[in-house]
Amino acid sequence: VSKKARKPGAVPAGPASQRRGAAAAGAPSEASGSGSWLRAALVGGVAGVIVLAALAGLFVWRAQGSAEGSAWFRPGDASYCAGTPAFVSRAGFAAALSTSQKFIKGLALVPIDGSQRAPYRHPSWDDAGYLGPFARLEDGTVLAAPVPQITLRDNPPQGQNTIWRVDPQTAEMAPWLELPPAQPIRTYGILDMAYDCDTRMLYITSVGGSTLRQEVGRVFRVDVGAARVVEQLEGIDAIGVGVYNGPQGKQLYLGSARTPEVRVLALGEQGAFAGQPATALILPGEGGANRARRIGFDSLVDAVAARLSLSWQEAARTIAEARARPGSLPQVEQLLKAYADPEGADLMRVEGFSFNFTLQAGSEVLTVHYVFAADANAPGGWRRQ
Amino acid sequence: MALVLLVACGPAPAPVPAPLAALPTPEPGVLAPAPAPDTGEVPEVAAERARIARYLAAEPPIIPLEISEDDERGAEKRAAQEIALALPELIRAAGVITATQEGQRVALRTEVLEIAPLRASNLNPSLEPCAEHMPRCWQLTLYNYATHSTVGVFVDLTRNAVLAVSIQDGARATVPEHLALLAERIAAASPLVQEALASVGRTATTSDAPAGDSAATAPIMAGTQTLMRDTSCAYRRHLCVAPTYVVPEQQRALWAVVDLTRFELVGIQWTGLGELAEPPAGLVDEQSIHDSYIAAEYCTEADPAQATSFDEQGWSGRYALTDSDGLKLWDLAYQGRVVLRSAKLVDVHVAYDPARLLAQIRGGAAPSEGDAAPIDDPGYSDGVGCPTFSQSAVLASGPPARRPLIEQGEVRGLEIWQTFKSPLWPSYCNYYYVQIFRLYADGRFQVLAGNAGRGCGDFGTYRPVLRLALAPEALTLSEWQGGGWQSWEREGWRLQDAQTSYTDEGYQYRVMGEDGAGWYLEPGQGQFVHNRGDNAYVYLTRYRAEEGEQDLGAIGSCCRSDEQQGPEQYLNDEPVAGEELTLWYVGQMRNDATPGDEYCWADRRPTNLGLYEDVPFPCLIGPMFHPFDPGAGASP
Repeated sequence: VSKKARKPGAVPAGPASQRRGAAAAGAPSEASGSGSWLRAALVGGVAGVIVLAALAGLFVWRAQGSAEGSAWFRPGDASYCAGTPAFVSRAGFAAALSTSQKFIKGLALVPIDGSQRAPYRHPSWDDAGYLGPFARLEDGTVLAAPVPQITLRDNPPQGQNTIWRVDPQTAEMAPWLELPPAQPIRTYGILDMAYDCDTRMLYITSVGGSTLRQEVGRVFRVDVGAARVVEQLEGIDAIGVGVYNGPQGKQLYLGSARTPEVRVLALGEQGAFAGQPATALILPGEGGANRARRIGFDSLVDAVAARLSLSWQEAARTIAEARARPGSLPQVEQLLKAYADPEGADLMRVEGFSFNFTLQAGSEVLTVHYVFAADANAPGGWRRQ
Repeated sequence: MALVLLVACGPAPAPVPAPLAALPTPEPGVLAPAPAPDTGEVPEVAAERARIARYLAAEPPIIPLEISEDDERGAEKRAAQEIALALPELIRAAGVITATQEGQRVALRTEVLEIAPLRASNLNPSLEPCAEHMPRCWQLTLYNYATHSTVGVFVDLTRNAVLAVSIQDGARATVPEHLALLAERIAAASPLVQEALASVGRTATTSDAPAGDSAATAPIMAGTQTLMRDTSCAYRRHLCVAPTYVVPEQQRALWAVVDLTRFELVGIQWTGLGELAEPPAGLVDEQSIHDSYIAAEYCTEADPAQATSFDEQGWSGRYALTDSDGLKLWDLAYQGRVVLRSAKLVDVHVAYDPARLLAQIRGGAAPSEGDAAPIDDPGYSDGVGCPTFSQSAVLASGPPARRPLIEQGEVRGLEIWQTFKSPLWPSYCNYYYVQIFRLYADGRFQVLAGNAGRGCGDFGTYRPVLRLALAPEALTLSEWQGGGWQSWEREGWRLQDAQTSYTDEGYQYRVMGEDGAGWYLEPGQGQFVHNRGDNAYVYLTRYRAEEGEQDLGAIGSCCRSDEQQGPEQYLNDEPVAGEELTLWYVGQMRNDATPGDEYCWADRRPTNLGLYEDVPFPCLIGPMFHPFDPGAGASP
């Protein structure tokens, strides 16, 4: 899917030869986890922090199929189901999992209570060198990928194709899945991942093998239950990735590693790629070198559900009621007023940074935070906040 | 209600958003050369400098927005500006005043860039009084050029009062018309812009020029509405804009990035237009021009035919930027004889005192009990090299510079420089490295590597790893040992320390060919500029191309203080007398932030232009090679 081959338009169908692997088999499973997750601001490098805030009361909802037989998923970020690993509960302090602590290799469980307590680190957590993106599954399993920081010394290229799994009970980290790069990796491989709770698919971006003149990055679709790659997009260098359930259905958003664009790709009900990426939005205005390294979604329903400890359905009804009868639910109205989009539209949050396929530290470049609101009337479907 | 209906009845057909056109692909950019000192300035720039100087000396020292008499709401804007600038607290909030080390008061260049009606999105409790009369409330955006920061001032004209002053990290503002026009004039005055447009049969003009000449092209001003923290100059952190000349018949656009802090052209870059009538703002900026230019022109190691070659003052050779081994110079010859097969900077190791580093990370708090090892590697192993698609952590900050070597006011040869700089240098944990090849007309040469801070603290040690593949001939290295030269028979290493012996001339090593000619090596003992002694680990290995002629990546730990800096992995006791040789040279420099005695450090100081200047305090290591040739009577 080269830039030159791309056509404008929403998710046009693409040649089958550009994809590999079979379509996902089987119906998406019902997730049963509770809790939610937030992707917090990143500190340095292509790395991540997940704050393990317990957001009680959310449960996974899936509506009945429509007349056309298509499934409808809980609107908003599809990575809503991430569970808290049991080892976090046992840590005995309020903590966040982090791969971006300065001078700490691998994963760390860092205190977020303002204390000077040393981070908790399982002996296996630095086995893969420095880590970058990670995702949590329903049961608290953590899947993480190595990303070099400053040097390849701790992250040799041959190790950058491996996804590692952290056991939610024992905290032991071990290799889980090997991904095939198109060409031998020079500097970077995997750069981000996003878990779709509806389909139990993990989407992974990799720029492994890409060079100045050759865009050979891949987007992998991994069946988490089977622990195997079931499909991959070829020839696309992407960093940030996010799965969004919106009015157009399930969509995969990809932050281009070569242009200041976020691209969108339709996903089938089972999570299969449907069509080719099209430009959804351009990181606007200034900073032509900015690339979307993290993509997340907020929905008003999620915000209300989290703040009021409601289920998703209860939150939706509560919002509707507050709007229908002003003054009846002041607490909800206050939340609505505080929400970033006055129309209550879903928000896409994009963290942009300058990325040039080098080992320059992420902490040494400026990051820009963009917020876009879903708007079917805006070009690409999103307007800048 | 819509959400509930969704649950009950399924979705209504969702409107399909209009598609976006894909972005065109930029071509490599061209960096503008530094303006020659005798080049006349654009008259309007000189006038603007004079205006700035006038206001910096005024009270308050803030450059106001000049409001047109034709502006329908000009009277209100003038009133709002008058009220805002009279607020004493504004000086502190906008950081307008600072002081030199000597305590002298310096006004920093701060300008009102925009006065606009208060935006509903900016309403907050402190602006509550404006909710009832929004049209009478105004928002001023002040930009501090020195600190690259923005302050918003909110004025209520019904009360003739400032309601709030806030630092606005993510503020957007419209660059005033006179500055936008100034940018157009700077671009149009540039031979680089004119030559580029001439190639498509156009000439650059400005938007206020009279129409008539069909070839004259005025730019669109993409980016006049800009996020102040992140304008078109990502590296400089200056206020920059990008006048863009659209050439529809060629389906191309020429971008000219102009720095309005320094009033100079940064560079140019062509893009295609694709399906767009006008390219989107921000597609091209300083970084895209810089990086693409350096990559295209100088990251040519893989294609030696594309490398830069030179032949000056008896010296010849070629050089190119590498993936992560800095600037590589090869086939360096003096008067036709190759003296170095190649030389490059493999890594720069930076090690910090772990206890102090930890305390600093924790805001000064001392490590607590049971807190033994929360840091893995207290430092970095930095690769330096190409600005894109490389394994470097600190990137080339400009093209290699070849220029006369001047000492005591006289040209003594030539030198080749390459700098590598983190974008936010000299901020915390940002780095500035330099490589210098000094080539003297008398045949001496010196290979140097160094640093100019600032790093993560004043408790760091820098260890640049130089790889010098010596002349491709049978050579023997000898070491001065208290009265005579002792040859090295096997691969090995030495540390230059207090026990090291030197000849009266300060030579520690001698490299000699079979013809009896060669070089003495004089390490730094504080006799060279920006040097307090090399304290170098020297490793001698038999030359093997597979041991580093290609890019090496990071070869050593950042943080060890012993001989394990990386080159030791190539020591396997091979005989080296009378062989082709590689010398690895790892100097050690401890940084120092003591005022007046800074070393490997950097600071920032205010200038009388109302800006900050970065002040490097460099440190350099590297041996001087002194040639000798008994046949020519040049041996000491």
